[in-house]
Amino acid sequence: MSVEPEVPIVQVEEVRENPVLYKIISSDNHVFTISEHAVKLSKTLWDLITNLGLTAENALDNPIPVENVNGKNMETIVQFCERHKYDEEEPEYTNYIREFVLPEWDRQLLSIDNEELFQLILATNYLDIQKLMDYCCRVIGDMAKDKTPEELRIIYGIPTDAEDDALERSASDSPGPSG
Amino acid sequence: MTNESKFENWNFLPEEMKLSCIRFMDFKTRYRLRATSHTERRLVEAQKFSWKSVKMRSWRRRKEIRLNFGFRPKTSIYYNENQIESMIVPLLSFIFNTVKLGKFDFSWANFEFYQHLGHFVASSPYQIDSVSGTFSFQTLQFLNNFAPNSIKHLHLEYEPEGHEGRFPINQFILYPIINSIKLWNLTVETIPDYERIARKWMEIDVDVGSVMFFNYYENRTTDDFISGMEDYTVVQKSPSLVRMEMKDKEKHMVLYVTYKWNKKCFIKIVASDFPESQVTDLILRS
Repeated sequence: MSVEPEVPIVQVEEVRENPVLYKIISSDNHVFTISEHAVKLSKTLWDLITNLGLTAENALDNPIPVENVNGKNMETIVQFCERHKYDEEEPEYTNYIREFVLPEWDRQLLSIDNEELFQLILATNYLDIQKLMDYCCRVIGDMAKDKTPEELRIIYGIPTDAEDDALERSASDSPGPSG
Repeated sequence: MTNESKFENWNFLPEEMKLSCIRFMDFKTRYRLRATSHTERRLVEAQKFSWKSVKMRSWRRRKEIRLNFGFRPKTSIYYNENQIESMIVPLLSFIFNTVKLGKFDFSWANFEFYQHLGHFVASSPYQIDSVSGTFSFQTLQFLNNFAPNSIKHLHLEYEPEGHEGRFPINQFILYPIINSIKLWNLTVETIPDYERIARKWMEIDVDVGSVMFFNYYENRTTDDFISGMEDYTVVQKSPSLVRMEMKDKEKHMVLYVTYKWNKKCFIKIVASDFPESQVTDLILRS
């Protein structure tokens, strides 16, 4: 596999502890390096690496193209995975609200605008990174705290039932694709 | 409200992601989100969570809903009498449809407070381990909303309202939840066929400590009782008392009947090594 990067390689974090590194190319051709422990947090990427038979010897010569994730999101994801690569496995929570702690570092990382957070959560879902998915959901869930139903409609852009019905009616009234 | 605290793409999230977000919302937030639209209501009710108990209490005209989430502090919400329909019914409906509840207790609520239980419709089967309260014919319908096998302990006092009459044993015995209840505490004034409860208890092999108190009003003897329970071994018998083995030989069922107006009859499950001498204490205590 040989993809010529159009932009310089972004070295997110120098990894000394583990010599095995992988290269990932985002949809907009940014190239990232990521350590083996970090990349294992993404089930999708690790399955890909395993299926491609990449090893310590050939990993850097075979960048992995990820067409569904742009460079901005990939940078956040690589930062996240490097940060949490040695974390212990999450315990079985009985009460997510009280027991699940969102560290301040991650809260800062996820302090991004509506559209960026949406793109990040879709990328996280595609790459199947459970921990980052939980953190994103926690951030979105926390936005609702102590808000009235009216405020929640504004925060989440939730249409009223009447608006929802009107949207459905106009969708069903439209002629749709011809042919 | 700042721009940073908005997530207007909520409606474009797949439902499983919305459910993951709802998992991190507290009870009050979920209740409010549920009020925004039918879609959110469905999602909020699909994301179950667990509480220790909910108690309904009447303080004259003030009504209290006491919530125990399983950690401190417990929360009490107070309403006025005229808010039962508008505020309490929607709240309880939300709780019953959404929470896996350790205990629901309305033994301190007055009739006008708990009569609404009979009107609840389950959008999903209720999951409550233990129910405690005074039932009338009307509120007994509430038990039909439960998921089969959900309820483990029932503490029921039956007080018919007006002309409702005797305990509706034929209807009660058919509720799907009955078969999962292992610990019972029933008090019924008049029951037309108490043997049916006894047979049901034998069938589901209820736990030691289960008890039913009732008033004896029909001319039926302990022999009549035994004749309906031929599959079980009688270990002690007198005109007023029968003790027989259950399926699990470690347990015995004791029936005590009396004509005395100031004494209750009872059926009680005791350990097989429960001393005969202490059965008299049971009778005196009843």
